[in-house]
Amino acid sequence: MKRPLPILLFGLLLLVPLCGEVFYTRLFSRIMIHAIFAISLDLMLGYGGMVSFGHAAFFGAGAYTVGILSLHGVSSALIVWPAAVGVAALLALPIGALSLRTSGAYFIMITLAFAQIVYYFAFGLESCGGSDGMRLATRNTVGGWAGLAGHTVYYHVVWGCLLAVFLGCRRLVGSRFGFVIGGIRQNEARMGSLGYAPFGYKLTCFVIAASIAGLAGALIANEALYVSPSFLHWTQSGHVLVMVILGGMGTLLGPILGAMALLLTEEVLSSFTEHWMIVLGPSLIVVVLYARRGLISLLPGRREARADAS
Amino acid sequence: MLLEARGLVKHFGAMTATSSVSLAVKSGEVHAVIGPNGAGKTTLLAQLSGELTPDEGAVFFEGRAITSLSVPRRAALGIGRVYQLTSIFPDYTVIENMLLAHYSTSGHSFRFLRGFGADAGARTHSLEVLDQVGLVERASVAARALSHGEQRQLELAMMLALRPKLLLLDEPTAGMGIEETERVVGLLSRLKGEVAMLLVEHDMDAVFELADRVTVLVYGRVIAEGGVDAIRRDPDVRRAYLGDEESGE
Repeated sequence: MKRPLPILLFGLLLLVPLCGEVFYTRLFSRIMIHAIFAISLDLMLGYGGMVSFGHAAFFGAGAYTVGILSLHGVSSALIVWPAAVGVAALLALPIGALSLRTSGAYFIMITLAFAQIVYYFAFGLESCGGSDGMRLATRNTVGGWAGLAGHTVYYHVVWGCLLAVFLGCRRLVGSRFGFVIGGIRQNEARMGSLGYAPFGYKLTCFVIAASIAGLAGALIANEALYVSPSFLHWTQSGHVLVMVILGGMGTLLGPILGAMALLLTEEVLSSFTEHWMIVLGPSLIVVVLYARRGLISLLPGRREARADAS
Repeated sequence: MLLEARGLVKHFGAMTATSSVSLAVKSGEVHAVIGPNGAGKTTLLAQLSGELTPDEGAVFFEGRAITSLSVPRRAALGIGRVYQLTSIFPDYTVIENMLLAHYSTSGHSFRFLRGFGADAGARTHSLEVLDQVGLVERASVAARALSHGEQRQLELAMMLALRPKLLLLDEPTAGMGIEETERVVGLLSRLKGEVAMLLVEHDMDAVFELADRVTVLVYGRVIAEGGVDAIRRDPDVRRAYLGDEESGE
């Protein structure tokens, strides 16, 4: 392969549990889960040009699916996780169909509005603890096996999910569908005059992105062993948006780097001072000013090969 | 008749941009629409391509009423549109732009797994069309890196890849140097006969070289319509339009 960066990154991630500290294993599990969430947003944002400020709705829907099914005694990951993906997709279908009738700032606002509706719905869900959320007794099982409860095992499952999402999305963006989505982002009017009806493609992209966010939600619920409305809050949507922009939109590695950079920085800064946001905010501005294409543009061998091809 | 517009009217508020305009394009014919700035040429073209819906009147394509069809639907029937401002996919390479055009004619694109450039037949066809417009050497260059003239050539090539029956061309030589203009006019005249064209153009030399028939539009109204020679001699046209050009030289 000519692409050493992903191999290096996934290889390094495999080394994390070897340090033996549960703290780091769990931290990096969370980072990888957010990386999946960020990749899913980037499918819409970077590839499809749809700036959604309500992506947390699908993340939260995935998490709540785990919580609600556990109340009914369903704990097999083989049922719960596909269900979480399915619930997120079903939720995305009407939300996407309505939101995609608008564009630009209106799209941002309407996705935010829908996410707030879902947030307040979860807020009022007494069976899941309402505003407090609910604790989960155990992680999901696989065919009766409870091994996911071990943090190292769970880490590797999350690693596998991230790898699968990464490879699947790479395939997707390189496919005919992926190019059509990118064409719509660059010039929607031209796609229309070529005979493509953009709406169906955008909606499909929206639903695929939401499904992957649903998977990330199911994973975070299992990692944290609780679900709460905070997973659905608009700040969560903003948080993941920052990860994508920080790491580099329109790439698949960028969101992974962005999730890693943001969560690690938060972790380190918050151990020094409780006013860590005062440091984080300006440093984000500096990154955006000096690395417009995100952190990924700072890596070697990533100089816009395409634009300079002439 | 390939394309026929009957009594088109379009208002923008109090302004009438198109005032009962009728015109017809036969198969294989090049029909030019000329007129001074603000005559409503682009508005007229937009009603034919489906971007705007006329307030009154109807548009027929091959005898079928298409007045209420969307842009993609009309494109699927064989109406290709070339915009006044270059309209391509800047982040994609020339060949990728071509493939997007090519695939739009072959079924849906809900294909999620197979690589975009993997279809050898589509590639070959795209390269043939690029060869026709003289861009084949630039196939792997990002479209944003092309010169303005080359971008217009690419845009034409994308339209040709659709094998349209009718091309709607909005000032294809706008903003081009002399050499680039000659290349595009040469290309269009080679296509003449294969595909019908409705051409909005400012460059009178290009119009008189390419067109079979000319419609002259002033303030949204047709003031003359006829063959190239008749239009050249028409006193109203000379006063309203051509005269300006000549005295301005």
